[in-house]
Amino acid sequence: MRQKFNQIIYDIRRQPLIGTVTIIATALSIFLFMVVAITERVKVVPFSPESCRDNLLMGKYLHLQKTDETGSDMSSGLSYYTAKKLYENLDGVERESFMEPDLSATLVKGTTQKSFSAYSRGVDAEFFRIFDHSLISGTFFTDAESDANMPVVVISESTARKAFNSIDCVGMPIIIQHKKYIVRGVVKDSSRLACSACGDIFIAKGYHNKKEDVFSSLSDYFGGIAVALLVKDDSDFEHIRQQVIARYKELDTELATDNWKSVYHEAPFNQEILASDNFGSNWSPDLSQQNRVRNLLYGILLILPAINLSTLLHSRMRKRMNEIGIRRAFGCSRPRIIADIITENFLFTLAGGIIGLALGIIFAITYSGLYENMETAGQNITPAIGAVINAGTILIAIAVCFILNLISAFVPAWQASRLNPVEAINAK
Amino acid sequence: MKRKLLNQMLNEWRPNIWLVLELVIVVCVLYALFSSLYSTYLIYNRSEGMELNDVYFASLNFIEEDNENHAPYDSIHSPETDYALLLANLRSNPYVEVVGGGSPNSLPYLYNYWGTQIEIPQKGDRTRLQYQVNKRQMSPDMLRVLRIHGVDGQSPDELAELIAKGDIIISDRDYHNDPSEAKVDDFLGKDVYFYKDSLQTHHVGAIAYGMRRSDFEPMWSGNLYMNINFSDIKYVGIRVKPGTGHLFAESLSESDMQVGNLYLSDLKSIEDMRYSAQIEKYQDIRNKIIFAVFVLMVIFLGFLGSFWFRTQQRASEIAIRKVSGASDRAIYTRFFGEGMILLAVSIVLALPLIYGLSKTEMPGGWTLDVTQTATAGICTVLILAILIVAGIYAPALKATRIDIAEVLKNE
Repeated sequence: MRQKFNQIIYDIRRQPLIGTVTIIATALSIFLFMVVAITERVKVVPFSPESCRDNLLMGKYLHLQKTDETGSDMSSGLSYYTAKKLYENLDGVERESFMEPDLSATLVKGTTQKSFSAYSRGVDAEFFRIFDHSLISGTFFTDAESDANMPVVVISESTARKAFNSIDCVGMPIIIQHKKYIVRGVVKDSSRLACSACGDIFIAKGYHNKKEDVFSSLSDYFGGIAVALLVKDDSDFEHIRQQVIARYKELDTELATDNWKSVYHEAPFNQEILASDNFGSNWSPDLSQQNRVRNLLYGILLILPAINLSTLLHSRMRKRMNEIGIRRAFGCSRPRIIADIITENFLFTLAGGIIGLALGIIFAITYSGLYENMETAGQNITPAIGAVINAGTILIAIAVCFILNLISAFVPAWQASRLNPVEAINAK
Repeated sequence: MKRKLLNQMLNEWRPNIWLVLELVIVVCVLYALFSSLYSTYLIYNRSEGMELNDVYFASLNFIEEDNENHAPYDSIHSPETDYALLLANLRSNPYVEVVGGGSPNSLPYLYNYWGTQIEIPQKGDRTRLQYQVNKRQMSPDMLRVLRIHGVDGQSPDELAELIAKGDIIISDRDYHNDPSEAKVDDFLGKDVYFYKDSLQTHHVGAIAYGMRRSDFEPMWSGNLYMNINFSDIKYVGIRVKPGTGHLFAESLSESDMQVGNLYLSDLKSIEDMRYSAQIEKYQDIRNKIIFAVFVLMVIFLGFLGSFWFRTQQRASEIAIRKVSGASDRAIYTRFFGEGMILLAVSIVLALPLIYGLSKTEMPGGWTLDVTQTATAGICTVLILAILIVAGIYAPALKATRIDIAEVLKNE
């Protein structure tokens, strides 16, 4: 191996421009590849308060359609009634939380002079058992408090500081949308990248509209509720989905009296679908187009630099024809020549890869523009360090280096191994 | 000389094939990126017919009766009187020009769509005239806030008077794919009714410019501007005097934002709304530009590395040329010519793929016409040519500066 390092250093000294260009080209392509990969992975890898992502399913939306010839339809979020009917007490589910899936901009006022805007969501007590928010002071609210819709809230650290100039505000009143609540607890700020669990204010909200039997209109099936399901480790998502499909059929028998039926759109959704944002109340998730574009992008990010590096390696090899000829003359086999060139080039690629990976990680952590969307525009979003730097990221980088090296080095290495030793030694 | 150059390129066919293959991919990728960006620019650049600077919006909220802070109404006070007072307070602000109210669908940069159809029954067996519109309900003052103009030169004030007296105003749309479809002019001055509501007719008083949901989205259907009932008002729009936005926001006190049970929250400038509504499109444009730069960097480095090596390989040949009287310009021309021939071959090979791409629907449902396709293609070729010349320049410069005596001493 030491000999190979010496060879690389000699190579760079002998052809500094081509060696430098090779490393820059590799670093550039690994950088871009890793930025894309990290941005995609941050949406699905578990981190607090969504450490449960691998076991999380979300039930959202209901789509109803007329069974008569008009075929007219309605679709929206779930009411508590529908959410419970479709998702409560499923086999293989460890916990379920009924919560508002989207954040609402609310007007907040504490003891400080000015009121300010913050993002809130209504959640039940179970929410904090699924999503691991870190409590700084106070407690989370109880099942009884959320079920009774008591005016209690859990707020984030930064909200506490804005409203009270301090995090010691447990038990103090806070005005939200002109309604008085009591602060039960303060949690650490959460990244807006935790789309399902983040928020500045969590308002206790439970089954306050228990219309289990009496419906005034079809709109009672709809509301602003979603269900977070924490699936047991030994249970699989398909098993849960099959149960939900059976529940939809039960709902259909109930709806049939009014000539309505439900349209199933593959709920509940896993984190990959939730992160894709490629689903809606009246359409099924379809990741195929998104995956095609992503794979094409990854392909171009790999193939273009690989061709480039291959041309550069070809040039480097032509400078080393004498050396290869001598090695062949002394009995070095062709596979050995190929293996040596590929190994040597892999070290070259790895050097560029390390630079590219480091730059990619720094960029992914510092540039929040990578993660902005309509809901988070203008906010400073930084991903958790653990979501960016982890074994998965390193493995992807090494794999990309390996593939890049294999694509770029194989043809020049194969050509070099086919050289006639006599011609190679005589070559200038 | 050209023949010799071609022969020399054929002798180096192996590395040249790699460069051509790389260029074919790059030509296709760059063409796809440039045509997509150009299509986006064409949509963005369409006339708006309204002025959206110096505008603020706030959502209008109501303290419900079950809230302990709710103030009961008497025979004098009502939500309507609260609203009138709230607007009067805002109008008295020295920085405010005009204040109006509207439904969520009356605002730009919210992706709401409230589709309906306006219809005119035709005589005899002829099919009724139908036209799809996005229903935007707003107070007359909201037309002044947004400064919506009529296509026949009507001012926002004239349009506001029209909807105040009960007329409706409609706009044209961006696409007219079906020649048999009703045109917006067919409805001007006519009494129309809304889809499935033939009891009430509405008079179309004017044709105005349409309000797009985003600067990057074409108008799929027309717009319908009509007066709003108080109970449907969910937003308040405020036009401030030019350049006084920050002063206005700072001058607002909490008493300005609340009257009785009505209060304003989430005050946002139109710039903030535009930014958050279009952030994903901005990111898309940014990503495409970054990707294009990456692809161009790859090509630049590829040509730099390859031609640097060729300069070393051809040192003796270049020296002999110089001894035979070749000028620096001739050496440059030879190197650049080699690059341009490689580019030309790549373009020819990429043409079938480019043709396929040119038939693809662009984002927003746009298809580029022949001129626009040619423009995107020319941009692709020009930028690539510049990058190739840049990549070859340093090796070519090196070639012109070789030490002839040193190079030829062993020959």
